[in-house]
Amino acid sequence: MTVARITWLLLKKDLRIAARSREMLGFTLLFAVLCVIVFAFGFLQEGAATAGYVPGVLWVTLLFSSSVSLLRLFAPEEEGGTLDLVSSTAAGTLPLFISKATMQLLFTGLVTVVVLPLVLLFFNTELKGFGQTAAALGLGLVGMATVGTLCSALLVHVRLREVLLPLVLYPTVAPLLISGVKVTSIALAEGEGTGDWLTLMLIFDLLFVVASPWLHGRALQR
Amino acid sequence: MTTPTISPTTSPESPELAAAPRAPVAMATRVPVRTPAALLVLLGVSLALIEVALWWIAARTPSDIVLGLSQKIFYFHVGSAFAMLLCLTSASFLSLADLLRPDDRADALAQSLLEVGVIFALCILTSGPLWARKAWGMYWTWEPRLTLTLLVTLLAVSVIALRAMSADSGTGRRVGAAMAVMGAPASYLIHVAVKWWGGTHPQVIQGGGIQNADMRIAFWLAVFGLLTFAAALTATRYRDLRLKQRGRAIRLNLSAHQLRQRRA
Amino acid sequence: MSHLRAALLRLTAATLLSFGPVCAAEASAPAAPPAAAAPTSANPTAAGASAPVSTSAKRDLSRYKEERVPGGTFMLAAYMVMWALVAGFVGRTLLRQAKVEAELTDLSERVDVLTGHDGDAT
Repeated sequence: MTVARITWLLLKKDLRIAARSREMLGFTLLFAVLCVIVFAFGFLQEGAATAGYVPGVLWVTLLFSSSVSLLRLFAPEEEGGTLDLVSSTAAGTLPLFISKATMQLLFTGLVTVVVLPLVLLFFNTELKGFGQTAAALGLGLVGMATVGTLCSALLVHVRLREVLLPLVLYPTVAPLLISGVKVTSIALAEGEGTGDWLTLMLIFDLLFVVASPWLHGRALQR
Repeated sequence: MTTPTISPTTSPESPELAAAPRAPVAMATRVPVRTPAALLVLLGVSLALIEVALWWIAARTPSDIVLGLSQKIFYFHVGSAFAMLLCLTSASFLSLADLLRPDDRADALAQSLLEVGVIFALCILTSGPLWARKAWGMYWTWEPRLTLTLLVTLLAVSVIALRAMSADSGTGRRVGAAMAVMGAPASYLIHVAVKWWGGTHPQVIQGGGIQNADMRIAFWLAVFGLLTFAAALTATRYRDLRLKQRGRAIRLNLSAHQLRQRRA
Repeated sequence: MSHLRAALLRLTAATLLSFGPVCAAEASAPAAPPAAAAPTSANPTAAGASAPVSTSAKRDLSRYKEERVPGGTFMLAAYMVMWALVAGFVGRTLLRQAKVEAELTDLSERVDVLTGHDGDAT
């Protein structure tokens, strides 16, 4: 009850900040689009981008743009010096974590909505197996947002965190990346056998959805 | 200006400290230096095991029929892998213990294990590709154990870097511990994921095992030699970190005293 | 601390070096067929499995028995000395730590006398 209310208040605040200064979302989207274009250049063969690279390009672009927005996730609190205040609510640090993870999920979700059609367009690919791709993207984004928010929150006071964040985040979300690419490529080829990979992603999500807020609370307690 | 001589009886920093009464102190320097006999024995045993293992590998074990001499990397390679796994896993569990109930000793031990684990991981990541070049014809394949080792090493390195980068504070310590704890389930899932990805790594222990008696002896000599050596290194680093913690406690004590005097 | 770091560096270097020449020495020997080409259950890369000769490995086995490293004895001696040096260095670091510990004990006693045990700070 309290957790839900405080979370909602914090989330509303973040949404309002994001709505008033749209630049962060705008720049993240721009970055994602540029990423796709650069990948298209990188994989250009005989004048046409090769279709086989679609899953990899899609997932790596999502990972890169999610780390871009993660670096700015706690920026409002840092700049206002209010991190201690929002961490010490009546319900502890949990509302802060949930609201930030939700923000990150919304951000990366919007990026996905833009990037997916763009990748398909640039690489001349038809979207097949939409259900499986969507499931993989959903599970992948939830996992990346949870682990990413944890990493971002833990690194707030650390020097050189721009460098450290990818160093911690990328190895940790490697299972999501591997499974996501696998599911997407199977789905695009209308193949079979995505079940195991989706289960792996689900287990990853469940594990880190439970563990991350706990670790966050433990690590940042005063 | 002369170079300040640092000896137990003079303090170059604090005149206040230098003026401190000497009576009980003079005894302190005469306290016999406690030699950690158990640690030296451990180090000696590990050295003996490694020397015998080296000799056994060179002189007693036969060349592998298929792989020839290059197979002899195997003994130290697998031994280092065991040491790495043991170090990093226990570092993760100790970090969890430290998060649950803060303890300076658990923290120091976790940190030392992490560092020694990375050393052995680097050994594997070098010897592995060299061997793979001979055995598989290429330096690197995206094979489960190779991928796992690489990613786990990166995680461990980033936790060490994080400790180095964050201020020497309780927060930095807990953050590092949280990262180290996160590493354990992450590594397990990485392991599952890359395993399904497909692989060709030999399964020595689970599979047929080592048939030749000399090879078996060399293998276990190397394994125990490297494990005890890892333990000795960890102990050395652990003592280092404990001394650092003690030094910090003394400094805290002193500055608390100075603060009280200024207030008075 | 810097001693330990140097010791660890030496350990790494020594361990790595101890693998290098083994490979280099074998470079002159006939190369084994790349097993990656046939990653089947009869994978010949199962290291240490010397006794069971797979049917695919029908070739001149005597060639491998004659495989010798030139100056092998010296190489072995070099490795043994190298490891001894590394262990000796670690041992020396351990002994030095004891001296640092004694100094720290001395220092903490002085600070205790100075502060007169007047605070709750440890």
